[in-house]
Amino acid sequence: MAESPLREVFRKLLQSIPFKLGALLLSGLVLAALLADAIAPYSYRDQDLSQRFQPPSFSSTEPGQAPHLLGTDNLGRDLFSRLIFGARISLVVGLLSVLISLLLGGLLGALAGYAGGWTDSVISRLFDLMLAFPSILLAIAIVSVLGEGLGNVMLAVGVVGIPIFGRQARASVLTTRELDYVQAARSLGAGPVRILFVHVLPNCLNPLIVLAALGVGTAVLDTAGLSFLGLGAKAPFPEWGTILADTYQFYKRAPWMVAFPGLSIMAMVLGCNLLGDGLRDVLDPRMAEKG
Amino acid sequence: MFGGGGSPVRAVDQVSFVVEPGETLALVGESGSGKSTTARMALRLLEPTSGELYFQGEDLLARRDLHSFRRKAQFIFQDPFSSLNPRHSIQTILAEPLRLHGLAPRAEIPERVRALLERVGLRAEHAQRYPHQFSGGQRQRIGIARALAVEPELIVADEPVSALDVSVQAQVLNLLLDLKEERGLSMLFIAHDLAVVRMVSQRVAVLYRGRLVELGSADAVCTAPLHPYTRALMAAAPFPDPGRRPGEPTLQLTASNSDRGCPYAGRCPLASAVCKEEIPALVEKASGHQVACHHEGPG
Repeated sequence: MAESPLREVFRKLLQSIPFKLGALLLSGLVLAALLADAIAPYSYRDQDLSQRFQPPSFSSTEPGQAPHLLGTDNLGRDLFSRLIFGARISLVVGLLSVLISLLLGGLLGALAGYAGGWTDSVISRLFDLMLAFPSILLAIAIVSVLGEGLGNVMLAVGVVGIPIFGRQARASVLTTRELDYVQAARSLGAGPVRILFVHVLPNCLNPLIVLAALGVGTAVLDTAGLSFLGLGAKAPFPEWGTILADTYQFYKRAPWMVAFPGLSIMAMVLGCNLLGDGLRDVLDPRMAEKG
Repeated sequence: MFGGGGSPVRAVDQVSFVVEPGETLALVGESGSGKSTTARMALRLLEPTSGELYFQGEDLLARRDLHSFRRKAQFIFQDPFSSLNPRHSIQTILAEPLRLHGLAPRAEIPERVRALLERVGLRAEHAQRYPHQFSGGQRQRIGIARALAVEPELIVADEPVSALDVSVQAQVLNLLLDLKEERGLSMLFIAHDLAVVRMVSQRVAVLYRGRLVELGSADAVCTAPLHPYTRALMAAAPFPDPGRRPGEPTLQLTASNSDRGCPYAGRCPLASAVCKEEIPALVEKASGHQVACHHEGPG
């Protein structure tokens, strides 16, 4: 049986150390998120004021109760449980906002590269305009127009990512559409839509997949940042950025309350970056050389 | 928005030829002489900015829908490594033309693909593989099979063997010649290798800097070239004939980019004042043998 390109990619990925590390880290977080109801010993919202500011511990503070592995917060909520439920939010928000960037950016960029002419000019200038804003500022502007809330933050982070994916898609389409097999499809009588979706776009996916993996990390970070600023999820919703915002004032008295949400965010972003680097080494070696 | 700038290059200018039914016309010239551009324009893969293009008496440039033309005329690419979509299996690649033109019911497509593969000397089980698993020569055979799938009447082959190892060039050329005989194909064959040209073509058109400088039967052009450029080209070709002496000095690289005059004047050993002023017209010197030179004629 012949090895398809897809299988070959998998085989190479399994030899890549960054990919394996990233996959390990992320699969841990994904599992925690999926099984949150089963793993988390406490609810993410139930307060127990008798248990405030408990430091991390492996032993129970109350008989018959699960230990507070990562301690409790200023309202006596179990931090471990809150972070596990928070992983769910971060993953969903990260994936969905990257999906928005990827779909809209990819399609707009592909259209610009394939159609050329004034279509290309209009779309490219739009991308330039969006990239001229600092991304977090643009996201804040979008949220302030749409209104606060996690859904709008997700949308804003997605929109901010559009030009990044768009420019990559445009560049890939520009090079791919000149290749002989695309010309061959034309000479066989394939129409422009078929050529774009069957011959050009699938061969432009690799750099976009790499960008998407890296993008999830950025999106998680941006979402946490916006939530920290009070624009996203609201307490008691255990978004990691929101947790940080609620707890940072206690950092002297209960440093674990700040450290663990921060470490969670870091683990997620690091996992995405490692995964992205591993994918890049395999899918897009030329990009890796450029650094 | 920021388009334009610089003067456009005329890659091909006033090149005019006819490919007769069942004939192979070779288009020769050095790199950059406009061979590939001409070949691609012939199939409207590139749009000529001006000129005329007729296929079986019909004006191709007037057509908006080329679908039925695409069935009758096919292209074979020079580089077998970039002419096959790396993500598609050979089955998908060869089925595409059949599907696009509705040439076979879905159930018969695998059988047709198998027949195509076998015709070009590959095996039926190769259909499940991907392009990167084949050698250059095998890939070129797949490219040929793809072009044949629509049962075309005209094939435009852009240096189909120049990217291949010498050892497989002859095999692929023989395959092309067999197919041409078998199906009565007309062929426009782009080449820079004169030995190849003599082997495959009945007539030869010589391009220099985007202009046609000589056109005649393959024998006449190869044995009694009229244009000094063609003669230099023949002299530079490594024919396996130890008794043969180069008749002309090798090309001198003192080309000028003047718009006026014969494009070859800067390099031509015969160049005189008139050559720098006037572009020579293509005139018939012997029966079916045309040349564009002020000093035409052997000797």
